[in-house]
Amino acid sequence: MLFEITILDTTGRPLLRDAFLMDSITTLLDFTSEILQPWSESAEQQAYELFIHSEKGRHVFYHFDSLEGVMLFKNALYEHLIELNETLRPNIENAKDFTLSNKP
Amino acid sequence: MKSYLTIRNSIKLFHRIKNFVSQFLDPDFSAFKKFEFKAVPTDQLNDLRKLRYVRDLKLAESGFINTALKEQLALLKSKDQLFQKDRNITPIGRISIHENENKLMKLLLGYHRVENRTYISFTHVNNCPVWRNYSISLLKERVQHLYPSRSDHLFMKHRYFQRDVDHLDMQTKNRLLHLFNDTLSNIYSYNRHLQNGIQTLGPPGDKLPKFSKTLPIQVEQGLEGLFVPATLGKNVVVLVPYLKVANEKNRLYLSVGEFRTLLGQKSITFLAETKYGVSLGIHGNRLFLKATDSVEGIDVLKQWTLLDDFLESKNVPKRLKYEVVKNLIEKKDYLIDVDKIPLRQTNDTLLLKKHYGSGKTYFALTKNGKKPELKEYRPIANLKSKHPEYYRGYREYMNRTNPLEPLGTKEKRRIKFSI
Repeated sequence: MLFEITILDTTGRPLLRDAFLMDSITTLLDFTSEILQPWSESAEQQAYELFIHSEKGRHVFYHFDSLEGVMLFKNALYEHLIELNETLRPNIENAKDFTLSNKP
Repeated sequence: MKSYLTIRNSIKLFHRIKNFVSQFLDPDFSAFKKFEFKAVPTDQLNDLRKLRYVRDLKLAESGFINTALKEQLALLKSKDQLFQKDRNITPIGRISIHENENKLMKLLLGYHRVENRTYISFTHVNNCPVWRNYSISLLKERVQHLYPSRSDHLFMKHRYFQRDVDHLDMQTKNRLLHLFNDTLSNIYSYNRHLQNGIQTLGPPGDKLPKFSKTLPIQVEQGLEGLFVPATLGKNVVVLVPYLKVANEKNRLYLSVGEFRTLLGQKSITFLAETKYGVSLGIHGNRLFLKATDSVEGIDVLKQWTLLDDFLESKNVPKRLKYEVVKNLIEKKDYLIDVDKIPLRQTNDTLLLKKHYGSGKTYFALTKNGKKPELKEYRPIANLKSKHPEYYRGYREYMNRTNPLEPLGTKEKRRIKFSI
């Protein structure tokens, strides 16, 4: 599923605007809630703003106190996307005629 | 040669006219021609639309395009088709197969609302799923030959995409949930290494044994009895179904006490009931004791307790400890279940037990399905005189089967111990 991320600075100018693919909205929310959990959301009017949305609507909206928080989130997201894109190399048995055991 | 040049000139002419028209109709085309066409190397373009501009401009210039550009166009076109397909598919859930920390396979399930069709994806291109029509045979083919390389088992993780399917109608949501649950059960049944990945339950000691939070435990018989210990807290244990999407109804919330009882029930084989108010159980080569339901006041034996721990405990009544040592350990004064013989004349059953110390057989009768108490058991020699009507049935039954072979012979045959 295609998502668009936008990060605005304290004056409302875009710092980052990019698109990325992830399995689903649920996957995105699982990831963002885990990353953002240790942070306390900024209550200030002038804060860095994070938006992530897809064709189905806006899914993430968050205020960061500092640029450090923004960078940490951005780096974590891109590292996660690289991990997701890694190719799996499954072990596959050649034998095709083995019988399944009756173990529970 | 002449005709070849004529064709090329025709192509050039056609694209010059086409590009001339595009300059007026598509402002992006004009901007690209002015600023990017000669400045940006073609192989760095990852935008299908821009690559098509390049094709049109090159055809207008020379009447042909090289193989590299053709291949790049074909690649981007395939990717574009992939992304367009993904846009129309609602992801349902993800299932992955692991060996320890290694992920061996990940699959996604999806649903196309317009086509009313389900899809499955085993591979991704740039994080975009490559969707294929869902089919059981395809699933089986992909899953059944997966094997572990460092251990003897695999396990599954799954995540149902509730937020993504929420906008669908209730009937479709139920159908997709069933499909996801069925897929989990099918994957499990297709691969024997997944079936090997069940945690062995050990009897609870002072502390709860350590459990993996990824491998299932068998709480009840059958696939529905497989649960993963999601929370193992000081006070509460939460077990979630292994082959189903968890919800409020199918999660098991247990107190630590209940969980200890469960571990005892699942890991310890009941061996004998004694007349001293305790039951005898066995796990591996270790003996366990537990107070029988009818006896109260033996707090320390509410759960299965290792015999050694019981004997070392200071909270046990001395008299009970003495009886256990004297009668259970030294005299082996307890009865082991041997057989149950259904009686044709009534709905009752003739129960046979063997006295472990003397090897003698005892009998008792169930009355209206009610289990007799231990004190009601009599020597088998008395059966003929006391219940001659059942004696013949008993003889017939014993002649058909191996006499006095303990119940569940295959299992019990392994139980050889000395105290």
